[in-house]
Parts: sequence; C-alpha cells; structure tokens
Amino acid sequence: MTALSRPVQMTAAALVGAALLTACSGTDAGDDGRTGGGGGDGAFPVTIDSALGEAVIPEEPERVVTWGWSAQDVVLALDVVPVAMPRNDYGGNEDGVFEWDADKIEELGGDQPTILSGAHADAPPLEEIVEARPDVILAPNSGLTQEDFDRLQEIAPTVAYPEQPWATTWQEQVDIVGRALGKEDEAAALLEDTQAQVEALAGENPELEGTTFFYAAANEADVLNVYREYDPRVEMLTDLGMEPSASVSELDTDPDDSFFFQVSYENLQEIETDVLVMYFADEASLEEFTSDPLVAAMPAVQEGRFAPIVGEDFVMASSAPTVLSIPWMLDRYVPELVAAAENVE
Amino acid sequence: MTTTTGGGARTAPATRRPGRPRAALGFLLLGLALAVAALLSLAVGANPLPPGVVLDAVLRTDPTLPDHLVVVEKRLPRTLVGLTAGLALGMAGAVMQGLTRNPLADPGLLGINAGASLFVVGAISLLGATSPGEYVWFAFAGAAVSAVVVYGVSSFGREGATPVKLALAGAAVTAALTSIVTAVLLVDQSSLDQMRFWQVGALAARGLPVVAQTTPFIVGGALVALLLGRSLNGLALGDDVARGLGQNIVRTRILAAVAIVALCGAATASVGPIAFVGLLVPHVARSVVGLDYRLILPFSALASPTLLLACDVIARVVARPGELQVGIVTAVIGAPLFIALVRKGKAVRL
Repeated sequence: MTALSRPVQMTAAALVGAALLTACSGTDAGDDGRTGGGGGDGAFPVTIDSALGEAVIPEEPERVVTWGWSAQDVVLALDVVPVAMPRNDYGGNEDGVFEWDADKIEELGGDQPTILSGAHADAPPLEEIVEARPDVILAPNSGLTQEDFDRLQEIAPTVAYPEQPWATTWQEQVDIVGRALGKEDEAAALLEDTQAQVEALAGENPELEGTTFFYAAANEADVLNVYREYDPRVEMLTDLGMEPSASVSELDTDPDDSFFFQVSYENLQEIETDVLVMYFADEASLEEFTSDPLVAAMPAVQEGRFAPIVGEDFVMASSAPTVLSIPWMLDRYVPELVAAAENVE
Repeated sequence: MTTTTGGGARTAPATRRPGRPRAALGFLLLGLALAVAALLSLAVGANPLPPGVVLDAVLRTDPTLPDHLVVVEKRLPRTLVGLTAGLALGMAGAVMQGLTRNPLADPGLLGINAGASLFVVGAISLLGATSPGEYVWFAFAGAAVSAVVVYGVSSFGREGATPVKLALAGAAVTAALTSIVTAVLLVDQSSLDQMRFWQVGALAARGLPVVAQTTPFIVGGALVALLLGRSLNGLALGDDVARGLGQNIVRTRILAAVAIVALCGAATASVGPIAFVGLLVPHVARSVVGLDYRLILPFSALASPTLLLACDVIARVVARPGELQVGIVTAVIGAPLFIALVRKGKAVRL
C-alpha cells in the first residue's frame, strides 16, 4: 500500500489537482502580489512577491521555464514559447503536450520547448531546468515547497503561488504571468477577451440562462464526487449563465471542506437538476457509468438532460480552464450543454 | 504420543478448555451476530430507507423503483461479497498464522496481495481490463502464482519451507512485485485510475458476478482449511514434535498453501487488499476459544464476515450522503484493537 501512495498523489495532481485551482476564487486579479516596479511596457526590473519569497526579474525574460499547472498556457497566449514546460500525462498528446499548447507553439514557430519530466506533484527536475538556461521560472499554480523554491531561485528568479499551493485561479495566473513577462497590458486584454468570449457564447445560447446543473464525476466505486460552487468547472458554467442546482447545497453536509463532496449511488435519486454534467476519460467509462441501474433510473439520464464530457483532453480543458483551453473547448462544450438543456421540459 | 488421537484440547497444553456446551453456545451467538450484521447490511446505508421499503424490495422487487434498486442492486451484492470475502479473509489469516507460526501473518505477508496487484495492473495496462468481473481472475491468478513462488523459494534447503523462510521469501517477493507495480503505474496514468478503484479495498461496486466467480474457491478453500485443524495444532508444537506425532508435515504445508491461495486469492480478488480483518480475527479467536485450530477456524469463519459487514455498515453511514470504503474503516477500527491485543500479551502467543 505504501508503495502506491506516490502514484496516488500523482492522481491527485493529474485528475483532481486541477480543481485545486479553486480554493480562493475571489478572482481578485489585483495588486496584492506587487511591490515594486510593475507598470507597462518594459518597466523592468519587476519584483513579484509569492508565498515562498520574492522574484526580482532584472529585464524582459527571453528564456521562460514553466512549472505546475497551466502556466505554459498563459505564456503561450502572450506569444512567448517557453524553453521548457512540464509534461502533462492526463490529456496531453504522446509528448505530454496539450493540443491547444501544441497548436499555439506551431502558430508561433520557433523552437519546440523541452518537456520536463516528473509529475506536477513531484519536486521539479532541477538538472533539466538548469539545462534549459532560464531567465525566469514561472510556477504560479504549483506545489513547490520552500526547499524547491530556494533551489530554483539559485537557477533563475522564480515566481511561486501567491498564497496556497495549487490554489491560484486562472485569472490570477494571467495577471502574475503578465507582470513577470512585462506584458501587463496584453495580459489584461487577454483576460478581457476570454471573458468576453464566454459572455458572447452565453448571449448566443439563451437556453442556458437559468438552467440548473449538477456537476459531478464518477471517479470512485459507487460514489459521485460533486463539485462545489467555487470550483473552476462550476464557475465556467455559471459564467455561461447556468445556475447550480439547489440539490448541490442541500446534499452538502460539510460545505467548507474542499472543492468537492461525495454522494453515494444510494442517494442518486435525491439529485434534482435540469442538466447533469459529468466528465469521463473515455467512452468505456461513460458506458460503465450509465449501465448502472441506479444511474439509468436518474430522470436526467433517462430524459437526455445529461451532458457527459468525454475524452481526457476535453476533460482537462473544461476542468482547468485557461486563456488557451477555454477558446479550444467552448465550441464543443456549449453545444453539448445546449443539447442537454433543450431536453428540459 | 497418544495425544494426536485424543481430544483437541489435549494436543495443545495451553488451551483454555471451553466446555462443549459453552463452545456450542458461543458459536450459536457468533452465528446470530453474523445474521444481524448481514441484516443490517441490507437495511442500513447511505440512503436511510425505512425498514418496510427494504423488506418490500427483497420480497417484491419492483425494478422501476430506485429505492428497490438500492437494496437489490447495491446492498444485496455488497452483503454477499462481505460474507464470502470476510469468511475467506478470516480463515486464510488463521491458516497462515498456523502454517507460518507467525502471529503477524496475513495476506500481505506471503506475497499474495503483491502478486494479485501485479496481475491486476498487468490486466488493466496490457489487456485493457476495466471491470472487477474482468480482473478478478487476474487477481486470483496473481495470488496463486506468487504463493507458489514464495512456497517454492522457501522449500529450497534441507528443512523445506520453514516458517522463517516462508516469511522471508514472502517479504522479498512482496518487495520485488510491489516495485514492478509501482513502475507500471508511474508510466501508465489510465491504469492508475482503474487500479485505484481495486486497490482501495471496498465491498461496493463489486457485484454479483464477482461473488459467483470467487465463491467456488472460497468454499473449496474453507473445506480444506477446516480439515486441517488438527494438523495445524500439531505444527504449532514445532516441526519435530509434529513429526514425532506421526504427522506428514509436507502434506500439511502443501494443503495449507492450497487453502491459503484459494481463500486469499478469492478474497483479494473480490474486495482488494483489506487490512486487519485476516490478521485480527484469528487472534480474537485464540483469546476466546483457546489454541485449538479446530475451534479457531470455524470461529474465524463466522467472526470475520461479521466484522467486515459491521465495518461496511459503519462506512456507509459515517459520511452521508456519501460513503467511505470499508478498507478505511477496518484500518481505523482494526489498528487500535490489534494494539490492545498485543499489549495484553495475547496476540503474540500462538
């Protein structure tokens, strides 16, 4: 058992960790991290505070290394190709690169990034990072320890998370990465564009407005993991105009616990919602889920008010939304939500 | 020397001898406790259904009613898995402790869990097995193969498979297989998800096919184990004494190994690695009925499923509206109980 604890931790990062993005989703993209310099174009040196210490970036960085969740998405969205970025086994292609990242790298041209080994939950691979000769190391949503941070600081200025590990929202990430690259204005525009895209889609699909949803995952035997309101997956749906079903809070006995809670299959009939949204790694696991007689008896499943998100890349894109993954997945996500919403009586 | 033909109590001098009526009463009470646990397992769950509905669901199942489905599709298979796997865990633990004369013997010790894990992860990773019904056979085969390897390795040398050599070989094989499993899981994310499902030690979502697949092995293993009671009493006195008593030690060891593979393999295959039940219950049995394996084995056969089902009922109600895995509850309850037994000095005496 003990020998498995490490892979289990990896799962936490690979599957669920993305959701830890959430804990403080006050989306305060504000100024708390900023101490010095800041300011628009090329106002280097920039100093960025993090929970683990200060990063002083003397001039506009050219060689960027990212670590942790999704930082490479923001770097790429700001038209910079990282020299090295972490491997993503869940949802990535055979090189461990998300499709939306691969597309953007191709669009920008230049050298392919080095793919850093090790899961995000592990200590960063210091030798590989040294090899990449970074000007800056960006890990705004990661699990860096103080020791990791101190070692990385010896290699290059390192930006860690503002408060808690694995708890930086995608909006905060845009702000932090924007400042680190001296592209604050572009970052603000990017954030605005992405938000506008979501709003536009919400406007184009009024069926979603006010439709209630229940977001869950079948990761464990006979138990649903239900995502709470401040999870990024859930926020994405509320941004599209949908509303969390009352059942979410009614079934939640310990709301302050974490980003999800559990409901036994024995209690599936307690769930009342217009649309049931769930993710599955592949078609086989979707079929396994719907073949359960208690699942098949759920009104939402029987009446086609069920919006399964199938496929690891789609799951990643919708679970840990970023400025790159949101445009990549919304054109697919929204029609599926609309199709389910249209079956609501 | 005549003791082998005498009463069970005389073969083991330290036995506290419960009178025959007392023992019969004890077993009757155990049987009742097991029946109560099984009924609770049907009646109590994450969904607080009224008893009338549960009764209705069993007697007049209406497959269109979700409440009935909860009882028939979830609680009933789960109860049967608990009964069969619990019995297997308890008897396997008792036979292992008798065979190895090791008070800490349980399915983890002789490489059984590790072998089952390796085959399950192989089935998932290489062959794409996805449901418990598919990988139960691999778990079983893995348990059998690793038990044979452990037994074979410890048979080298003049004295054959002594308790110490069995334990050492078991530890070595466990270490080797576990590292292979870890290596596979590190590079194969999707295997990890399935493996997590199996590895967690639960009665939920195993289903009736798993019961049907494992029950023949459990029944066979249990019968062999019950027949071994007297021989295990002999082994408890040491190889030389047992040999002096005219026992065929090699035959006993082989039969015990067969019973262990059948029982442990089936239990591990159906519920995953569940800690403490197989370890703890034989100790409780010894402290209640004494050192006679002819009593320890049936005691374990009744007490283990009772404990497992009771833990599972707890697992379902403590986290409403969700539930815990039974493996977590057995560990939380089993660890302090085991420490208490050790501190009283009862556990180490075999």
